[in-house]
Amino acid sequence: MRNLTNGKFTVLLLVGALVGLLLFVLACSSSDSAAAPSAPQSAAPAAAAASASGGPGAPVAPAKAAAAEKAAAPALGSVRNTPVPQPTRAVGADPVKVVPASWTDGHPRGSTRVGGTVKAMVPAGLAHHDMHQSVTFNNMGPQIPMYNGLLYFNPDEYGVFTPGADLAKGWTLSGDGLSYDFDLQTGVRFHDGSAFDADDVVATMDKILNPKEGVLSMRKIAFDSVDSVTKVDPLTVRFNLNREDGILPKSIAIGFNVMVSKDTLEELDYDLRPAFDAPGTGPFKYMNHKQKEVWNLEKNADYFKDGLPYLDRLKIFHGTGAAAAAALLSGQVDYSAWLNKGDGDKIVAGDFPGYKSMTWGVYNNTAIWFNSNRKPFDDERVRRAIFLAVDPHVMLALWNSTRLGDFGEWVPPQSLGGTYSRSLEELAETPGWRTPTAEDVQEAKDLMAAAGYGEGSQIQFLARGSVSSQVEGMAQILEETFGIESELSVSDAGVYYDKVWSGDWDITRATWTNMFGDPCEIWRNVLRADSPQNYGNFQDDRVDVAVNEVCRLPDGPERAESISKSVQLLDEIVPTMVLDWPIGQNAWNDETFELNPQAWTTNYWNHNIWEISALK
Amino acid sequence: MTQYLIRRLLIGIPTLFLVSVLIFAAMRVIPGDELSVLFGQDEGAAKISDELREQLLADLGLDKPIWVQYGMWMGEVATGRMGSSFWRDESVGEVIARRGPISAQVAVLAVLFSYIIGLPVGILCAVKQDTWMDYVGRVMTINFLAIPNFWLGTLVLVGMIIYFDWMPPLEWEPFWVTPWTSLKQSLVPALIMGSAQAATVARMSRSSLLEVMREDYIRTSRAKGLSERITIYRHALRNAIIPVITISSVSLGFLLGGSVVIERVFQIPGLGLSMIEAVQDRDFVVVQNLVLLYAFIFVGINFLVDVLYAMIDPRIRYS
Repeated sequence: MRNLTNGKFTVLLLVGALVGLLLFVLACSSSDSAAAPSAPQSAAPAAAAASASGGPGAPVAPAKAAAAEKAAAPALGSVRNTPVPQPTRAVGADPVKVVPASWTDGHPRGSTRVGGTVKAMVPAGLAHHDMHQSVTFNNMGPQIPMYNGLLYFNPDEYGVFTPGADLAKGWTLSGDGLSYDFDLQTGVRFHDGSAFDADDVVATMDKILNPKEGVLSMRKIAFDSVDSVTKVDPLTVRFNLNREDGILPKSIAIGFNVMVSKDTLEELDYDLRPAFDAPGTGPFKYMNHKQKEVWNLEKNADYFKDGLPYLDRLKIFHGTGAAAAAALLSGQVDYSAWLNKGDGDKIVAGDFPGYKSMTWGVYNNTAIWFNSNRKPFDDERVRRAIFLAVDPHVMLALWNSTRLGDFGEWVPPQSLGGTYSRSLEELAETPGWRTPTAEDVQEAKDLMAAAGYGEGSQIQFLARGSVSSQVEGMAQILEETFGIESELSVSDAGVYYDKVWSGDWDITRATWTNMFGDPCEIWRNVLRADSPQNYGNFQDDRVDVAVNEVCRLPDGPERAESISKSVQLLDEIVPTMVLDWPIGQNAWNDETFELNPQAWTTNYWNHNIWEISALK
Repeated sequence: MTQYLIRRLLIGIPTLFLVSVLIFAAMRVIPGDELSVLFGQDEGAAKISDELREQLLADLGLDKPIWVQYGMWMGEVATGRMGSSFWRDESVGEVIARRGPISAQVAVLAVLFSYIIGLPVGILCAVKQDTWMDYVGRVMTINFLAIPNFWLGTLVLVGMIIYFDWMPPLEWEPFWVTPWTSLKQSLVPALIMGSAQAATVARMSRSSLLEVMREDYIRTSRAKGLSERITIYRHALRNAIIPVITISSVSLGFLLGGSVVIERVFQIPGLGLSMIEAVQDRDFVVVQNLVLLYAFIFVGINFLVDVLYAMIDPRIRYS
């Protein structure tokens, strides 16, 4: 071989020098970035107790008539470090036994076709396989058919979430309201043949309540009233509470809270992220999958609900938007979720005979967050001023220009059948929720001036790129009304959340997730000092007290009153500005696929509807 | 010649090393939260504690010193496993083995189409220079050069859905299982990808052929009484095709990288789609390995082009 020429040697030397320089730069930058962008620490321990007032808790069945002594509600103020309240139910109150219905009651139906394969396209681009660690519906699509929960929601009525029986036949609420005993179904087996019993429930709940190091637990906040879950006997488990919890059965019924076997959990060290085929008890068993392409599931012939599921197989393809519409209309799938705005409307309009479409509340909310750690938004006068001046209908219209959405407020009008939400007519008269009047705008300006920002200011407005129309609209309103100039910073999701957690922003538009639209569930996730989705680090004892009270009370007039007072409080101090409630759009081939639209509208997040779906 | 080729191979090594360092560095300096895909993106995200964040980063190997991370990656590349994806339940090597042939199939078909379409057009334009056939050919080639293939692909896809109720199959049939079905699946995307390449081939072959046709030996060939067909195809084309081979061979490398867009449009589960998914998920390992793979392919293709040169033209002997 000829020797390298001087020219070539020089080139190699230069390359080597360049590489060395790069490594040096990297080494320097790695020492600066070694402290990864850190999430703000929870500033205070979780609010330990609700206020000590209220009556018996009976989420579904009416409580037996019993005299209840009502302790005086504490004055609004700090309740941190408040001792756990004493039981508030009347001495000697009887336990309440609840045996809820199940959506599978009445199935199997003789008229329903048995067998066949349904193909569906849903978001299925899951990054891992642990439902307890997931907060995205990408896990729901392919995985929920393989599992059951203790309870799931019955699709009785749109937006009304009634916990129904699944792996638990029902529950008994203790006389003091501090424990729930769940009676488990008999003869249930996991897909690997092992028997399901109380040990599996205890292990699963332990994973949720006390996640191991390095394991997330996204629904832990939903069980902040639960001290422990213990085994009473092989078919009975007890949830031991530190306070009354009016919505515990609903929290249990959240679709992500699937039951997994203790053996599987121990084998995988309580981290199911890599386990795409962790055995469940569900109506379908795992066959195979190609990540972010397709999941193939087959019927569980030993399913504990006799005669179900109807289908032999499920094929779950990954896709949304235009791909979902195209796949459906070309006949490649029977059902598609998350169609783009307009595609579903065309199906509804009859442009595609034989196909049907429906809309459903996504149970997320979008909102403007204020950075409560920085001026000027640490001042509630500033927040309320903006709240009064921004027209929420304009914000909704901007959202609806590209997506589907509905009017949202502290308790979304669509949630729970509108039980606790203010009517649209009432909101149309309420400052902050109505189109601003001249008086509203003047009051807003007065508040801003009183806070010291009457002459305008500059703020950093953080936004995710896909939702910039609302951001730009908001920025324009701020400038025109208050002279506030916004420096817009738009980025994709990964960079966006990096910036959010860093706290280097003043105002942002963000989405928060909730499962069934209950005010406790929403506010606990978002508004408390320890809330995992409290992007603005908002902290106010009054709100913590209010949220805890709403969470403690069972459905009924007392709860309604508590919610009403809380809503008024939130209107005053404005921790965040709710903008809208996104709406999803699904569609299906009505000639091939038998679908219960009601079930799907309520329960995409939460429901194992595939077990009663069938081909026509 | 042999020495030249060996030197060419050896120079590929520092090239690949440089690419690996660049992409490794780029992945670590770009902004964004590596863990955002773990706790939700579109639906909102949840705060996690600093301790949990550190633990999760450690699980991903991102807590180790940079040179250790790089060394570990190189070790995985050497063993063929190429590292474990952050968020996939398969190694990068398995992803490449599963999806690579799909991308290769579409890219190779695209190159074939580019020759099947582009070469005859280029020859026709050269032979019929300054006639209406030449003008039409040139206008068409310019059009297909200018039109972005993602736009064309979307247009074709929408048209086929609306007018023929057709859309790309959701499940990809492997070529070795059902060859004909697999080819049918690749046809439309390969045509789209090949259209711009065909335009390039046509223009290059036209200009190259025009140059060769003015050579003395072509005049001699005609003077000897040989038919125009033999003059063009046996004498002129062989010389004219050398630069065309260079261009289209390099294009094969671009097609593999540029397939990202077409794979997204047609939902082809190839390496391009894997790249998009990995970038969105901030899956460093997958991005690094795919970029390195593309670099390797480019180096390899360039090497093969040189070999092909020497085979086609006996005058070319490297020293």
